[in-house]
Amino acid sequence: MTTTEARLLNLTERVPQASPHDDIDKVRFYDLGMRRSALMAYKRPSDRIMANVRDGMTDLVEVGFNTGLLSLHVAGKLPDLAVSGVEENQNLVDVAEDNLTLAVWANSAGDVEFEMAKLNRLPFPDDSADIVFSFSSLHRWRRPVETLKECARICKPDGVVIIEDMNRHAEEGHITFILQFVKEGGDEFMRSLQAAYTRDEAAELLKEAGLADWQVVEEDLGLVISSRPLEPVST
Amino acid sequence: MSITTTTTSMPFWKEYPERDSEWVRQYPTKHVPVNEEEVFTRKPMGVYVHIPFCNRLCFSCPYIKHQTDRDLTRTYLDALKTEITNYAERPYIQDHVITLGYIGGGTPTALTAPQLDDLLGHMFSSFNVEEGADFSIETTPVDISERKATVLLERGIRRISLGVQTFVPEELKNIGRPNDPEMLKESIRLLRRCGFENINIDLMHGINGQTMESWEHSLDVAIDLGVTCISFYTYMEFAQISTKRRKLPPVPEKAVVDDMFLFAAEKLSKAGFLGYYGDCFAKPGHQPKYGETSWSEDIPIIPLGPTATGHLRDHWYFNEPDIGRYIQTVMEGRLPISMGKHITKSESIRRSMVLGVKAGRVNRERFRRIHGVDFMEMFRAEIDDLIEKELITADENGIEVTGPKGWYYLDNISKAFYSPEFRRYPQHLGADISNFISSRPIPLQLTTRPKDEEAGCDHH
Repeated sequence: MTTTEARLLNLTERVPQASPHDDIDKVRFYDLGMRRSALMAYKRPSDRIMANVRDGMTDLVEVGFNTGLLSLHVAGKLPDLAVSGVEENQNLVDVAEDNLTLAVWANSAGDVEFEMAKLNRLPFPDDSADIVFSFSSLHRWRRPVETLKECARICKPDGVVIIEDMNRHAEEGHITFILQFVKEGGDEFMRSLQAAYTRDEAAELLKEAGLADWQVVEEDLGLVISSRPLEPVST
Repeated sequence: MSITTTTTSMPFWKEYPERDSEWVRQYPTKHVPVNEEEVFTRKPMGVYVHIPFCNRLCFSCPYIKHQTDRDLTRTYLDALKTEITNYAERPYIQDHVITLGYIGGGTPTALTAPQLDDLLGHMFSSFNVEEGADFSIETTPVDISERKATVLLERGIRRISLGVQTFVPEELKNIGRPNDPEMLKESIRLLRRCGFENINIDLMHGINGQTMESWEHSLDVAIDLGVTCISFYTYMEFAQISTKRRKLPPVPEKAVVDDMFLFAAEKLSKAGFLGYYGDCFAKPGHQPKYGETSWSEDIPIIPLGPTATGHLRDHWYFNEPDIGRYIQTVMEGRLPISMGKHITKSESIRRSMVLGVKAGRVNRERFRRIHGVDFMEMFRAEIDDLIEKELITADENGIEVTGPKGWYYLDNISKAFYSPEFRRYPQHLGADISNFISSRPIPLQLTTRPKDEEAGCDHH
């Protein structure tokens, strides 16, 4: 049998993004693209959060909310819970605030608050969040080990941390398939992917954070990091 | 009686350790009469032309297309004609004769009648086109007119394919089409009046609000219209959120959509249509050669236009997808080749299996003539597995896809013949991902068994 282990795509080494989202106009353009086309991509993380909601929960926290879409989406489904988002990029915060303004205009039932803060110093007390979640943000964290520790600190003992991001070493065919559809967004997608972690690198970050008992699961294009084993959610 | 044979000694053939003194300079050594026509015969070739314009953009279409724009269209046609000229001047192309072609998009008939006349005139006069070459073109019922149909026929286009999708008014409305079935029928009658005898209708199943009953109605109308080909596609909405579409009735369940496929396949078979490509059906003698013949006979294809895919000189490749860059490259005098792959001999054999089965059958003798190998032996394990799954049947002449089950699983059958290296990699839709390709050289695979490599015996 003849096979080759050579990778087609340039994703062997991690390449951190120098200054992602440093242009407000590009952030607005990115947000518009996400609003138009990302509902499917957000479905599974949203379903995973919903699957972990229990009676008596009061507070959800999103770490690195991008332009706020996932917090707004989840909060709309959970009007009795408070959803607090934290982001450290001013442009993302500004665009998320605009999205929140529109949601308020439309009388969205969600209770959402966005805040700018360092992700390695989350502005919440210990054991205060029932669910700490993050989606497509880990690859931008400047100090991922500290932020992971912070996620653990603010999560209630019976709560759960769910962090999802792309897997740099996801199956190449799958990545190539996605690239057929993102077209103009291909560069942005690949830069994010190059900055993303592999399963082993994510496990190493957890180990450094003293969270070796957490889980890292490879799922399609992504990694799902969680503070305890999660039930799989259907696609 | 006893018969004894002894090897006669010959002056030009010695066996080691006797030294052979015939100075070898030719091979093979059996000669037969050969003439000029045979030596310089032109081999068949095809063309695919992409017209990336539509007068109305469909949200369910994944292909590269632009809203028709007079200035852009004009510039584009100049570039396309330049690309045709560039290809036509190459000796390799001149050694071939064009026997088949497909003009797709987009909507080729988004062009005006004079533009179609100009483009086809340029193409047919630039290439060596065989008399009666099998050319198909795509249109919508809205974009065809008597004048355009006449131009197409006069220029030698014999098959026309209409994107009808459904004959149910409500479903037409749901996919954003003019919702008058009578107008659709009239466009087909118009084509007939103009002289088109080979007409294909594209239908879609899985549309919002579609039921098995409404699907049967569309099939019945298509059959009653007397068209020669009917193809059907599964509706896929690529826009994942649309404020305009969220209030539409839901699309049918996947199981219903699957049943619609099998229902259509059986219904069309009973109505005298023969299946090919799994979801295309044609009355005997009306199946287009593009695809079927080009894949089964391994005929090279010239790709023309952005994202067009071709297969020339041991490469498959596709053209620059960005229309602006496509025009610029062509006008600089270069071919707009973007990405592709060199096809080794063993992959060429596999390619003929992967694409050959899409026609519904692979002929053993024809395959042996083209590739010099017996695919039944080479792919014995794969073929046995497919037979066991009742997806194909086999006899001494080759293999045949079983209908309708095999048609439903046709692409699974194709992929059974992928080499390990290419499994779990997708078909392309025209994205240029060259910026993301690893610069590390792919290790050269050396094998100590060239016979195996040649025979493609890299099975598990």
